[in-house]
Amino acid sequence: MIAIDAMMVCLDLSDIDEKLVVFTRSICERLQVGKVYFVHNIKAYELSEDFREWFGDVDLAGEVEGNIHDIVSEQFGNAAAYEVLVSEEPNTEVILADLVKRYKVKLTLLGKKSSDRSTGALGTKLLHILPCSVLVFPETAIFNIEKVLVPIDFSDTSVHALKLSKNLSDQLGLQLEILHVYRLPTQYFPLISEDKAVRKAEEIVKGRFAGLQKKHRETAGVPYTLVRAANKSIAERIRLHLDKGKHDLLVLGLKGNNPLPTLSFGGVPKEIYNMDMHIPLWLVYSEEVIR
Amino acid sequence: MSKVRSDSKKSFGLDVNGPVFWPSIVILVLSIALVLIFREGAEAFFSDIQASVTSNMGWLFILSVNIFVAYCLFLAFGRFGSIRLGGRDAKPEFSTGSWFAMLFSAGMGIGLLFWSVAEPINHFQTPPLGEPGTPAAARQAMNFTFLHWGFHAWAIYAMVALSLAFFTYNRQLPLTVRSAFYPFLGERIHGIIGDIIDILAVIATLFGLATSLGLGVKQVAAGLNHVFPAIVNDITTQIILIAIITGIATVSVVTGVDKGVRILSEWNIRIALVVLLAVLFLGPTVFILGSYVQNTGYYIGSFMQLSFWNEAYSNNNWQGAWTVFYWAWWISWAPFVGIFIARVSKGRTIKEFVLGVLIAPSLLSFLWMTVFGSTALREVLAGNTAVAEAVAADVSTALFVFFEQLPLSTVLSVIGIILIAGFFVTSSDSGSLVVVSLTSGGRPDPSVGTRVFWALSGGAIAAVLLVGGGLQALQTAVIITGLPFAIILLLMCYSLYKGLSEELEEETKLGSAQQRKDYQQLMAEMLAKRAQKQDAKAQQARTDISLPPKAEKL
Repeated sequence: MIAIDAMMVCLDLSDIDEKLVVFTRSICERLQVGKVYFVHNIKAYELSEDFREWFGDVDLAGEVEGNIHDIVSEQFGNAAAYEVLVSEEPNTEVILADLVKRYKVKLTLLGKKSSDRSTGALGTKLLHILPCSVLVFPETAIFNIEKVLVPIDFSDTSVHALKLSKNLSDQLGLQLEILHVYRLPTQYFPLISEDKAVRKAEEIVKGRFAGLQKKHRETAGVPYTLVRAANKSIAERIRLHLDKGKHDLLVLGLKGNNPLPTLSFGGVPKEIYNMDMHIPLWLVYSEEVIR
Repeated sequence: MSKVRSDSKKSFGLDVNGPVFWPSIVILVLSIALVLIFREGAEAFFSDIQASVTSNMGWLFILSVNIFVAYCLFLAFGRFGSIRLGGRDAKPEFSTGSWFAMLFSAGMGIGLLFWSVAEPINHFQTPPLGEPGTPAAARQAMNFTFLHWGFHAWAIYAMVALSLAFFTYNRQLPLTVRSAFYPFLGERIHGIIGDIIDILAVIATLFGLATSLGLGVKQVAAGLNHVFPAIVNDITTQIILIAIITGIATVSVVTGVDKGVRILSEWNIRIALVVLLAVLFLGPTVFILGSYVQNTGYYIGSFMQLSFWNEAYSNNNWQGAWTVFYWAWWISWAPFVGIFIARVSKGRTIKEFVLGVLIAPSLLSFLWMTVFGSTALREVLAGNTAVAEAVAADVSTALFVFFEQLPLSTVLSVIGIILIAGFFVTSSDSGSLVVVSLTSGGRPDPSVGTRVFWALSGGAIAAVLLVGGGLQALQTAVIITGLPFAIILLLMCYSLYKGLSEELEEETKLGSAQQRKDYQQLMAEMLAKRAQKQDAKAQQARTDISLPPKAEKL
């Protein structure tokens, strides 16, 4: 049974807020959520003098809080205990990370607009610094979730994501599929037949799957697919598989096998986050695994 | 293929940029004729100038290359690191493996084969500081070899390539050297000043290529003769070798970067890795690995001192003959290698670019130099003088004599010859493509005729100079061009900085202006909505008060 003690929903005053609140309600109705924090940080430095003159001495924090209360009371009702938090800090990502620690938030819900409407820079920063799992909800996503995809690289964090997805699927009766994208460094072995190399690689991966299923028996019945990255990045392959399989939710471990993510040319979660996707993306952060 | 602007116009029915193409041809023909006529005099004349440049302007070269290293690191790890060549949404045209194979093959492959054994032995026998033939001289020899083939050399290429790639892909200017001066010259780069810059680059590239090819085939022929004594090392063999290398390079140039050049470069790297691993495992493996760690540490430890060392307190001109010569050599090749690396680097971020063009090839060069150089030094220190004698007698056979000290020497020698020829082909095809790009005004897709013409020209010039003499004279002349190019490169640093600052400023301004506008609009809409709601509530309250009470309520 998945239980979330505290959940944070980041609102930005745009149209997506209502969708996020509705999605939060559907989560609270299906999973056991202790408390929800609806938060907004007022970016006072983004408001020009003209704006202030035009609106006079209005109590911005009060208005924003009232607005969020209106939306929550209309769309969320009493699905779970909640609190509205409004701040006026210069650095949004720092205050959000602070709230996560202060209220022991386990899951943060972020909205995401398409790349032509937003740079997504704040979201990328939040993925780096929030010490909790992040659920990204694109503005074009639908609420109905039936098929879940969990790509794994056999790292502890990806196995943690798999176990969470399995729990989630069992609890909500969802269809779960595991994906593993592998690479063949054929450029270094040009004389080895490609078919042979693919067969060998798949044999090895299947062996790893057998080992995984033996170690984590609950994952034994979950179907898995092997895909070769070939001339695409791992993230691009995952994206293509999502399009083909018509999945409704993607679950990924937030830190994978790469021990130096900041030096690499871009981690898989970051690359996927920056793509324009139309399904929610659950980036699972495991405190125990990271520790 | 990238979408970039070009200065190409029809000239006498040819798809070329006339003001660059025709003067280049005239200067090439005149220079070759003059060199052939005044052969010995020309050689002595250029040698004197070269000696004068290296001994008097050494400080400038040393200072410049250090600036280039610092500059590249500043660009990669500073605020410009995330700028992507080709714009935010650009995707790399080639996989990272192919990209690295191409830039490494074009930039340095061939030199590593010839100098990895000969250079450390040379420095060991005639060190700039201390006693020759001692373990300390061996350590110093590897240190100087690393200096000459490491970060400084690649920083020169990286800086030029980055500059050209930025102005080509982010500012839609032609892929020619003139484009790097856009922040200075503005639209004038499309005029006579731009033409002169490109003509200089064409001459330096083509003469650099032709003289390397000419002198290189002499070395290949010597190697062939050493391994297979039946093959005579004479002018006929050398001309046949030029014809074969030029023929393969022409096919490669005609098929383009994404086919011929890429495939050949990838195979070169594969074969090079086979040779490297073979020597590593057939030779003293533990010693090589240990010395790699030690050499790298020693190089890093003495990096600053070595990089700025200028022989200021001695009358010895060792540095002029080696270090400064190398700096001038890399700089004179920079327009060629730079344009080629720029051509294949679209879609990379600046950080990625510097990691791929400065750091990774340097580390591979260090490994290569250690595997060959340290092993050779170990042999000499142990009393085996065969390699040292070969270096003294003929540098081109040193590699093959080195292979003879290992098991499977004939196999290694044959693979070595294939690799040398392969690197010649990749230098030749990439160089020809660069000249094609320069003389066609940066056209992304120049005609097949132009490509064939320049590919064959390189081979023809090499053959003519080989038969008529004058290869050394022209090569020396090319190295002399390192001096004006060093100054041009320093200006290029400033030009690129200006361009990148503008780019970043534009991006930040656009981003923050849009962000501010968006946020203000959201806030305004929210406040308006709230005001409407409150008005509606107030009206509702007023209506409730003004309505007469209903009977049931009373």
